[in-house]
Amino acid sequence: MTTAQEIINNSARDAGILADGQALTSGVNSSALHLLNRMIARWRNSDVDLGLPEVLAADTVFIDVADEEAIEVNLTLRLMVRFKRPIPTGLSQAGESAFEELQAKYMIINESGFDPALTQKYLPRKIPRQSTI
Amino acid sequence: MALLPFPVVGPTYVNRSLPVSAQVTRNFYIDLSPQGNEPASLQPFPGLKPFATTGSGKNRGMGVLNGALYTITGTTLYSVTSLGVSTSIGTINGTGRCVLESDGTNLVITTGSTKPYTYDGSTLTLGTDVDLANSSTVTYNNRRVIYDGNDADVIFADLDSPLDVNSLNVTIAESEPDDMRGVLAHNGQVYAFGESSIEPYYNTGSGNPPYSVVTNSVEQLGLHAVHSLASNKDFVYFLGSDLVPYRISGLSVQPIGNPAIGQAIRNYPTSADAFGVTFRFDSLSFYLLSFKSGNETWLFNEQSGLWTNLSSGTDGSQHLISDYQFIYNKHIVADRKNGNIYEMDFDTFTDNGDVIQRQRDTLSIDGGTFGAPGNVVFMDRLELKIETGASLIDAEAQIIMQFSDDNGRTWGNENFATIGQQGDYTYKLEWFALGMFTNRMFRFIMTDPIKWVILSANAEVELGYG
Repeated sequence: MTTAQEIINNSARDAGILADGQALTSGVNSSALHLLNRMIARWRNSDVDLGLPEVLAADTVFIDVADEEAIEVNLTLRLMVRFKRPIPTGLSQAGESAFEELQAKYMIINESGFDPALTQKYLPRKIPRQSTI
Repeated sequence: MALLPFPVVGPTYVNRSLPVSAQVTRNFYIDLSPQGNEPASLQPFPGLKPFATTGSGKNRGMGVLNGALYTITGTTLYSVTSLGVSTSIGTINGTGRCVLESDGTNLVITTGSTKPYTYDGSTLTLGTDVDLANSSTVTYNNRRVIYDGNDADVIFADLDSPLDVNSLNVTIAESEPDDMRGVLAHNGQVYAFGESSIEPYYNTGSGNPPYSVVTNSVEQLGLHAVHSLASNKDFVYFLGSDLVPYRISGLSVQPIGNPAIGQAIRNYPTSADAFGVTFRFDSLSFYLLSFKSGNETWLFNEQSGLWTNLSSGTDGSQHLISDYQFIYNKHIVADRKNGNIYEMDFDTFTDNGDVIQRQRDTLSIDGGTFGAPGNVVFMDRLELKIETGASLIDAEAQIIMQFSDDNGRTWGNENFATIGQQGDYTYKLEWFALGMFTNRMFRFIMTDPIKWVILSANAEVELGYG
């Protein structure tokens, strides 16, 4: 398991705004945390509910590794937009496909039922055997 | 993304306000080569190669008489041959730093705690003349030896007789009511340095003494550290009574310090124990100013007019050099800690086997460095141009890079990089993914015993939303 801060740091490194051994300034860190929470909330509206409440930087985030990567790639993209950095095409595509995978994984499919009357009327009946002469 | 140059070569200049400058250059000197590929570079200060050993005790000074080297270690005067063989000559009392000056026939030695000595190549003699004093300095001009005397006295010894003084030739430097600190002859003129004044004398050829003060030329500035006095063919150097380093040429006194070195000197417990040494190599002239209590050594490069630091070991301590003589076609220096004598050598990369730690902390760079003031900088690649191919045959040398985004108050991780194998002259020294910053300074540390030359730096940067 990882913390929200670790996710932010990984994304910030991928976005080229953080070097190894460097710490984000408090302003940039707050901004990145805000972007992370906003992204998770927005995904919830798109039926991707990771089961995460609004997180603090120090909070441990209980999600599986694949989901973590999807979050990091998409947070990277948002940080690059935030800092007006040019986004490589490959990264953009990776973000989209990661989100689609999350959608496929977390999409809620409601149970469907059939009207019994329709069932009676339209279900195929047993056809009586024809008598033979 | 653009690859842009940024300044990496510079002096030591740590201002009281670090955002102004927190630059450090240690164990390098700045070489200006306007006609070269790199107009400025950091060249490694030479290492120290063993040359001779003398007895126990600290070095107190060196001198040359008739082509032979002499040195005082502890309380013993030694001669040292061109093969590095030292021979004890006799006892020089006292514990303080000495000045050894040749009058062509004698080596005249002042100790600051006894009357002067002479050594004529066979006999060591302690002066007894009643008009001699416990002088700290001695200088030679026009067949006459001159000493600083008691109170405000300047002592002019008899012609060709350094231990004899006619009492009429003891004069008072009376422009200011200050005590005499030191004397130095330079280009035919004798400077008498008091606590708060400098009186230049010229030889009148007659009278007692046959010297007079140059009219209207007394400086209202004194000598703070007696042994900071040193000279080369063009200048006299000294640490002034206001704790500023100066140099004199003719009657012109010129400060050579800056606010940063001034602040450093003022922070030392005392700077009266500073000593100065001049030397020249590769047509470059240097003034080394070393502070015992401050545990720090400064190096002034006449060509660039810039200061850097010298140190020994890995903690920035005062450099080992205590004194210098160019003799036997070698740059000979004494160790301030013991009786070792070394040759300063460009092909030696340790100080008598000890690590030389070289360091450069650059100026802070920001968006303005790259033409966009106020913008944040994304640095994806840093290229440091050094003289590569210098690694030892059995191991690639390493360099440490750190950066600070708060003007040198705190430093990030040590990032090691190798500089390529020996003979790999095209190796590129690079670091990647260096994040975003508003302003940043870089630190480069080198300890491998190889030739380190820092040329310039380039960075692949993108300027972003501020």
